Amino acid sequence: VRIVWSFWNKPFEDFKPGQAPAWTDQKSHLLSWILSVMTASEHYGDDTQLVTDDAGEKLLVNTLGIPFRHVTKQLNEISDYDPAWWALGKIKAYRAMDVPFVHIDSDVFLWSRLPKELEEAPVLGQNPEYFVIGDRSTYGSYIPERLETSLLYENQGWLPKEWLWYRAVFTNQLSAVCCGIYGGTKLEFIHHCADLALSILNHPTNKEVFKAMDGQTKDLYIMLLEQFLPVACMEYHCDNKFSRFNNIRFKYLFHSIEDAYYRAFRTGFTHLISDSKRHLRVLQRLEPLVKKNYEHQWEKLESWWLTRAKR
Amino acid sequence: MALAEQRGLPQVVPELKYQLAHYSLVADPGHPVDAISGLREVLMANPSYIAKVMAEDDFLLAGKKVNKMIESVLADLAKKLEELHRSVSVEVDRHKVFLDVVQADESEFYDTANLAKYYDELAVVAGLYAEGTFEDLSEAATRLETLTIPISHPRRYIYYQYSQTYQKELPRFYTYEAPFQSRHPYRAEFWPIGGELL
Repeated sequence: VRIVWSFWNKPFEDFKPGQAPAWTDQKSHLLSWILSVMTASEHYGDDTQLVTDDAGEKLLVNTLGIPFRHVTKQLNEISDYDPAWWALGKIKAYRAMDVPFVHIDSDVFLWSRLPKELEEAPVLGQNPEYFVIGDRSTYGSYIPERLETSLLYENQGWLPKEWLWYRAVFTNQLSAVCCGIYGGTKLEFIHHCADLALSILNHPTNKEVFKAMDGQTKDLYIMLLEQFLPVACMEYHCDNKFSRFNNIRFKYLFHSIEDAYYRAFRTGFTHLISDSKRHLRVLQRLEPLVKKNYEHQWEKLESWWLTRAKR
Repeated sequence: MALAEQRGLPQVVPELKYQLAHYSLVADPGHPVDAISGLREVLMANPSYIAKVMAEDDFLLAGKKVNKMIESVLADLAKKLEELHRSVSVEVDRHKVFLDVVQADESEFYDTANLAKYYDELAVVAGLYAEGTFEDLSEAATRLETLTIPISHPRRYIYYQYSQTYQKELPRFYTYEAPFQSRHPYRAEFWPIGGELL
């Protein structure tokens, strides 16, 4: 299975402390990149890929010397999009894949190889995230009802039938997939989900509605497109026996967030999820760990960082 | 050596090793009250204990070890209860106890006061169990539920997960909202998954 990362330079350059992806600074972000690629490469070194743009290749490959087996630059095609759609680079990467793959976030570290059954799954994710509409204490950042209001009730926008069906049938008890790792062997299904997400962004009326939205709102909505929409698709097609995706179910590394917290150590899996990127202990550990084990890349990063600081 | 191997090796600090070894000698595994109280005393008598472990950077592993011990004590407790109350399904209650242990996740070990309070309250319930104070297990389980244990992940997540997936198997004492809110600064979304491997 191919291990894939995506790097869209625009959100990286647009860095503002506290804004997604929540790193305190760009150096920590890049330290995490080095650690993520190098740890996974210990198990998958013969088949890794970076999906990026010109600037991303220059930074990660040429400047920092992070090794990838394949580098492709489909993210040049999204240079006109607002960087507030930070996960768009990931969605685009899912769409670009033409071999079975596992995309891993740059804040995920695989200390062990993933289980074989997961590598061979039709579609896989880190863990399901269960939430209840109206209860902000259950993954309050999922707010499909707000997007529906903006697009469908206040305007003549569009959402796919899978989304509407899932919301109508499952009402307020819903789930999404945590995409710390995401991928699978059923590329047709994965492409379908990515195409729908891109169609939502590119629908003419939707586009006009999105233009008026601030960055923080987009930050939440892009998560719906990346993590909620695939589950809606899965549920819709599993319920439709005539669908070509009828038998496709997600396989997860962990069966819940609780399970992830409990079993991550034994699984050899780390995800600096959400705001934990700003955790002091994480920041204190990251650099010594990279410096000790990947000195070559660390030195290059240090030199890049110092040069940048002088500017 | 591969990095994964390096990170996977538990390196408990010498003092902790000593404490755990000492504890395992003095505690009687067949007597849960003594076991838990003994552990509590070890912790209470050494206020700098957690700080020292933290300073050695191995506090999470230490926390895991302590949790493992508590788990084994509770397993013994469940066995004992099974003998006393054969008509009650201990499996469910063991699961409940297990979940309680899981919920006291590693981040709690940052805070000695919270930790002591947790084991203190657990010890009280365990003591009541062993003395046969409770009529049945559900009464004891209710008592466990009302403990003011600061938890990192609100247990309603577990509730939702189980209510959706295992609706029919849902033990009755899961069907409630968490009676307490986390007072701990490290909420789930602020704590890395598998952070102890860093």
